[in-house]
Amino acid sequence: MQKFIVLGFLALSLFSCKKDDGDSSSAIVSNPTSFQEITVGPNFNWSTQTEYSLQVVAMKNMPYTRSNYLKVFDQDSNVVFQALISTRDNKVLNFRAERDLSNVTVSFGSISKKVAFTNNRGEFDFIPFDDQSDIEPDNN
Amino acid sequence: MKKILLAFALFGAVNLGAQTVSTDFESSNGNRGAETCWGFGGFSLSNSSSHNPINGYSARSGSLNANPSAFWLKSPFIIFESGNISFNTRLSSADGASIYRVYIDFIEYDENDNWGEGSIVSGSIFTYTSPQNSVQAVSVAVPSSIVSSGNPYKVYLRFESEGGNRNRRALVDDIVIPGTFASDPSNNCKPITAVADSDFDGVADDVDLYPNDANAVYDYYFPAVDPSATAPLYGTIAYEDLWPSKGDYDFNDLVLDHYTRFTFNASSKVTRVQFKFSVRALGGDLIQGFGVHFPDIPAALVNAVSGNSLTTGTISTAASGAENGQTNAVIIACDDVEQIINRASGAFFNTYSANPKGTSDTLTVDVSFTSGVAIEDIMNFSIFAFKQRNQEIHMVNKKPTDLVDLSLFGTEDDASNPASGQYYKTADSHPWAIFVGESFDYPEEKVDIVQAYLNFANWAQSNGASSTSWYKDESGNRQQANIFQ
Repeated sequence: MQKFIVLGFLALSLFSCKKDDGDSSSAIVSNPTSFQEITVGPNFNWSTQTEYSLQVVAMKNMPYTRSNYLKVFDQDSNVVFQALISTRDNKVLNFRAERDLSNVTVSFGSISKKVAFTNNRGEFDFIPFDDQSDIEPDNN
Repeated sequence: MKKILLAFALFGAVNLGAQTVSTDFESSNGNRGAETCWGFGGFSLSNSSSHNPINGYSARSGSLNANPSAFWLKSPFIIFESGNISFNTRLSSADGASIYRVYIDFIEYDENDNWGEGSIVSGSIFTYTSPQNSVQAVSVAVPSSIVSSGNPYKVYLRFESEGGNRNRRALVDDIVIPGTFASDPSNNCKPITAVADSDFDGVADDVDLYPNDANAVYDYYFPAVDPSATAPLYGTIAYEDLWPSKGDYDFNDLVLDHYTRFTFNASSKVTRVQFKFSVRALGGDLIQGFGVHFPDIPAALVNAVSGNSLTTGTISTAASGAENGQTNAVIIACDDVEQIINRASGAFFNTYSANPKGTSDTLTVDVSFTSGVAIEDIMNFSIFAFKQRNQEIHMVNKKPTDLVDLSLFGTEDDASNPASGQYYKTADSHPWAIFVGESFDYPEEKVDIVQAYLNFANWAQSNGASSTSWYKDESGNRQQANIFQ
């Protein structure tokens, strides 16, 4: 009987320790002053970079295929990704870049466009930007 | 002489049976840019019933005037065949008080022009007949001189109201031109030119960075390269060296700058990889060396390794240069860091700002593969530091190599769970290494990174969503005195 009582106390002690540990690790310190105080999610990768996905939409109305480099430029005009692609294929390109890559420039030869990434996903087609400033307003 | 004759050679290769270049403006849904290499001057694409379209979408000009260069349409460059250029056109409303014309001209190729456009070659003139708002079917022959030249030309349609602006617009549709499309949309729509493929890898020399190497076509630099692709940018991995115990979180026990150059073949597979390493700091004496683990590439796929620094005799390698005893490819880049740094003072290499600065050799390690490897299988590589060879330190959740002492996992502060792919993290998911996508100004010796970078903690606690530029030299980011100078 005594053994059961001792075991019971031991079990209680163990549970108590676990509860304390759990409480301290889950309490988020709003302004940590040391690394030890930082609370992160279980899958945080401790990298300033993250994965991006760029959907390339094929060019449909060309009678031949043209291959050239698709380049992704960051806000500092550095090339963070490039691949040799053809105008014929729909393609998904995955690459890693800094987490603040929100608006980037994507080029394919002389075609250059701004691409917005939402939830790390963006889309590019080969249709050049048309500013339409030459078009007369519809008044007749 | 212009290079346009080269287009001849390609003509056969790109002629898929289409003997005409045509557009009815339907597939572009009103987006002029989607009309590949067609040019529009003052013309919009409209299918509005109020604009009296000819059939679905048509090209619609502004109010025509006496300047025929104000409103125009240009075709892509075309290698012409004999036959007639045809299109349908009409005015928005009839006008008996003015004469309306279409000039059907041609534009030569000029290699020195940004858009490849040279002189205008006169062709035909079409005059609208009454009633001008009825559809007029235009059909004019391509001049024999243009057909026989074999050179690429654009068709240039210009629209004129002889009597000036009388609020009449031109509508144009169903353009058909005898010949073959010969514009390159990725080169300002200049004519396609036949380019040699010297190494017969299926990639023309003009886009082949290695035109005489059938195993290589182009490079991709990680983390980045300057716009001219001549100056790769370094990233940094910064390590704590007390694994499996926690350290002081100054992240300078090994500070390793590196970039990676992936070389692709014509099938977009990676055939070789080059790593450049530079040791910025060594704030302890535990880390002996560093290497690269490719967990998704079998060791047998490594063809050759060169440029690594193996001086201790403790690393066993195969003839290929890959480390022996590994299922998947492991390349030891350096087995004794002391051999590639040049100390200027005592035990702490470049971690006390007050001490004389040391330098590091740049280590260039080249790895080639026996066959092309998918980039997805390579990008999961892990650059790791090691103390004894069986004690590696990786980024969070990167798999260790086969040579590690597995019994150390789960000891001290390490809370790895290999069964669930969880490695190199504490119970609080804290790491022993961090990666910064540019050359990182690391903390001074024994200074917690939170005390050096004022927004680091906010970045981490947001799981990377906030304060994403915490490491940059921007206002409010740094406690400068706590960063190694």
